Amino acid sequence: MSKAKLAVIVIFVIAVLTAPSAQGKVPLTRDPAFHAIAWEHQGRIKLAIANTSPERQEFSVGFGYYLLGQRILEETAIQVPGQTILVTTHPMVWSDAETGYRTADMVFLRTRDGESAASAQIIGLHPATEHYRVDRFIVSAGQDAVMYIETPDPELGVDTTVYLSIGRNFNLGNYKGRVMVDKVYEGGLKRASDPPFGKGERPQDFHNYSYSWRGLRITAPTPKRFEGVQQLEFVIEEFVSTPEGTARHGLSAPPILVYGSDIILMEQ
Amino acid sequence: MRNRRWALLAVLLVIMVAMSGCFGGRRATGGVRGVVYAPAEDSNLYKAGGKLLVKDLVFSPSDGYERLPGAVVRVEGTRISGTTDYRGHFQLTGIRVGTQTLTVSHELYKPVSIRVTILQDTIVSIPGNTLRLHGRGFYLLIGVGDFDYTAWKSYGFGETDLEKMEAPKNDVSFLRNVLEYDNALVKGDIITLIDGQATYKEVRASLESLVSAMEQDDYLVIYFSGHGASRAADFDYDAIALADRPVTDTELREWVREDLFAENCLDINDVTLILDTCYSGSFADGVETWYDDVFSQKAFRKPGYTVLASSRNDQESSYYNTHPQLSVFTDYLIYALETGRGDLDGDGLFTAQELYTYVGSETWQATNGKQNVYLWPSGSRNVIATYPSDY
Repeated sequence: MSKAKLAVIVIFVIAVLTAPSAQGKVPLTRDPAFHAIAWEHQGRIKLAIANTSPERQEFSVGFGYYLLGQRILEETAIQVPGQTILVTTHPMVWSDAETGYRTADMVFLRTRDGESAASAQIIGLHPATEHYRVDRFIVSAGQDAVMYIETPDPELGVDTTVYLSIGRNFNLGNYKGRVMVDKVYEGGLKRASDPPFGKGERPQDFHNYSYSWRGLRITAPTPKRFEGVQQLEFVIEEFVSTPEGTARHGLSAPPILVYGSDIILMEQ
Repeated sequence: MRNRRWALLAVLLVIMVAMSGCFGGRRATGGVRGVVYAPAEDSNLYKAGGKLLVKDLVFSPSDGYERLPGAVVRVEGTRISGTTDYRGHFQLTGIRVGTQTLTVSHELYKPVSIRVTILQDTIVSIPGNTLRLHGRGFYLLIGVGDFDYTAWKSYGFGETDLEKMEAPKNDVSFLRNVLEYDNALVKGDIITLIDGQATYKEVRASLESLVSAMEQDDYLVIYFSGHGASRAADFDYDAIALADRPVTDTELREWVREDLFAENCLDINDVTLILDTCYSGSFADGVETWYDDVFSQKAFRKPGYTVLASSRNDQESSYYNTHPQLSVFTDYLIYALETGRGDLDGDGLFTAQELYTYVGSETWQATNGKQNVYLWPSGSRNVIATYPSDY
């Protein structure tokens, strides 16, 4: 056997022996090709679906809620062109079934073949989204993503202390950036000098306060060089300390979508 | 000409292998960590020419030793090495699985060598000191994804209202394996109730039987995977869905039978509830709940109890829609226990706080920040299991 033949066989054997073996870990099924976020806006629901694949995608979009399973109250079909974030507007959906009146606070996305693709809490309606506000839910690369986190919960007792810890870095896909906490609001109600009274009303006849965010203004400067769509992620840990002890859990960061110059933002 | 063709083929194969990422690629590797100690300069040991010691992260040597920064730890026969940090800690990874020799050297001391067994995808502690707990582990593992719809009808839920799931039974089955075989804690008993077995009556009886068998220093872990509901998410009460009916946080806590603890002169100081359901943080959120005339102030928010929940009281939990289906939180919980990665301080114990930190972070990432793990109380040292079983 020639040396060259031997080399081929040896290389082949090495290739087989060193090939990656299957691991026991279950892979994620989340499709990185698209993202979905939904929020309440002036009594209606805005839904943004980002499709970063080059092909047009069709989704079945169900508006509903979760109670011992998915409850879909209304369903519609939406086609999203390739490399596009499509923002659509929908009416609010309610249920007046026997189990009681209930507003749809979730969106469930399925692909054409009926496979569950994603779900999104409707921001402003879902109870887990009440602790934040944002300037914009969709931000183009290079812009600042600005968010406001509220603390403490006004319903907590006087003997309760709430601590928030904000992660110093944010992730945008593989990009890591620094989170800046710009401002700490003093909290509670503060005096307002120019309340928006109607004609004929006298502000001086009232004690006037405005409700300010009792928390933090957070800015995440996004990179200019960026392609595709990614959801901004950073960690918020909340500690709720009472005389009985301290509970802790994470708080969801606002789901802001950041898109690059290769993506078209389209509103219908 | 013929040889040249073979040579060309060889080059092409090399390129293909290199591009596929396979060349020199995955092999079974693991890691090791520990602490290097040296005789303190003013000690008799130093004067007597005492040797370096390599220990795990928990057990300190006797007096006269101090942690040694700047020592070089090398895996013999490889290029893998590292230097101890200011605490004397070192951690080496990428070491081939099997028995390996570590050599520790420092300019002021004679080198020492120790042998360690490297396990795949695991960072092992330096062996030699096994943390043995006196208590035994008692486990009740419940997974419900299939329901007795006739029984549920009286609670207003029909077949279309209560979604079937495969994940809970898989969660319980995989978790049981880990707790049984990768857990050095002496097992008192492990009871598994899946789907139709997990009736209201049976869960209650199982819990009572476990508590009756417990002695001082034993650990009780109750795990549930399935559906959950909470007041924070617009349901009438905080509950989990058993095979035939819901059970509230209050009822479940009462089934722990504190009176039996009292009868047996036991302290309730290590009871842990692990929940992988939607809104599971509700079991320790301190919100008052009631159902069937059972009224509670705090459910599991009590001293001695720990709750590790897959999500907050207002958040859904999720599972992988793959085959086999597994819940995301439990998948990482199993991984943390199986590989030792959840033992963050290397002391051989998996505490609730450590699992919160590890599993919480992984779950948060996997769910794109939608699922935040909940822990009551923060910093809980309740023991879930111990690791590794080989030492």
